[in-house]
Amino acid sequence: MPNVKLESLQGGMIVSVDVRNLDNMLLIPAGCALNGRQIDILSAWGIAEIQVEACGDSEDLPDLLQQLPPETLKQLKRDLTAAFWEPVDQSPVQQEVFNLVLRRRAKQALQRERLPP
Amino acid sequence: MSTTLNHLIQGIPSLGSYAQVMAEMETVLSEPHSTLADLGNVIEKDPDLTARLLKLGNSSFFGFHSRLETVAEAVSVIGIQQVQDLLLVSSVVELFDGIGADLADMESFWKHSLACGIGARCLAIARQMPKAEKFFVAGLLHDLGRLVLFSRAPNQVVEIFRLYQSRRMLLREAEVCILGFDHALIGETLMRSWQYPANLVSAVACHHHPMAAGVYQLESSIVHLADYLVHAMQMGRSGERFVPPLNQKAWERVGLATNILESVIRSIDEQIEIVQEAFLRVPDKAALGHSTTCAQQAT
Repeated sequence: MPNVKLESLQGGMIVSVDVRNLDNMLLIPAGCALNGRQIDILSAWGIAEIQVEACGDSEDLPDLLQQLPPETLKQLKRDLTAAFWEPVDQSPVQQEVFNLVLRRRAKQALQRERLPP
Repeated sequence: MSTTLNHLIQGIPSLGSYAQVMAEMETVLSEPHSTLADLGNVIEKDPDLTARLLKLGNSSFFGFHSRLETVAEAVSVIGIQQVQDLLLVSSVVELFDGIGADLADMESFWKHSLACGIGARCLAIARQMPKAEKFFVAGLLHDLGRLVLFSRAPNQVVEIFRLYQSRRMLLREAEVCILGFDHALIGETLMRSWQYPANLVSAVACHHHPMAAGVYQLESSIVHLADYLVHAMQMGRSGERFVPPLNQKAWERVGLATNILESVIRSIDEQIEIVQEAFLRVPDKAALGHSTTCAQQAT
């Protein structure tokens, strides 16, 4: 359960320990998925960092893609590459978007095939 | 060129049937002793708006955990500005309600627009922009010019899509070939005529060329990135079949780390359904039909 500084918090992170102000008033309960307004609230109360659950979602890309039949994966990559107007290997951000969207499509494909993601 | 552009946007009202509610809200807000309950009374005159406001206030979009029961509570949670945004967006949806199913799949069009709004809001929050909520409106209205084209120039839309299908090109390039200008300029012109704030107008005007937005480069860059992400996710359709080019300078201007993108995509996936329910009227099934649209034929 890492401590994350306010400036590094992102929407969707799961709060692992109740967040309270100096008067012990509960601001955000444990288990809550952070949204932008709550990050603003933390900022307003001068809270510098909070504990969030480790996010392992970004590390499952190879596993997830390996669950797909090779032909399906190849087809997904081909379709996705063709959908982009320009090649996606021109910058890290394009590559990141491509990988994230590929994984999202892989999840959808697995759900369609009723395989466990 | 400007005559045609002005002709396209001539007489399009800014608030439609919501003008009355908005005017009454302005009156209440201008009175020093008015309360949230007074504002709630104005909103409650419109049952549809009331229902959507409560639904939105109780949704994951705002992330509050206690149940909101009254309009006054919802306004206090959502904020007066967001209620006005809800009215504004609802009025635009209503304004372009009658677009033919043969021209565009409007359900898909609005899905794309709403997703872009969610994405722009998330990026603005991550960037710790002041008034990040405004980016929802900017993202949502980024393709406003296409709505004008669909409703005011259906014949030219058919021509645009015919050209678009005939070769590998971006839809906005086809717009320029046929009309001499693109949907971004139409949206900009209409929003200027509605006297929308300059930052919002620039974000819509320059969402394909954010570095041309002068002092509003950052706002335009955020909408540009959200549009790119939503196209990549294939979340709804604006008519464009390609994920448009990414302006690398826009990404650098926004200055976020690439690991933020995962949470933005997740937020769009999580929030799209509730936002669709809150902002869109129940689609007219008869109007939606099952015919193939120009946009679908382009794929």
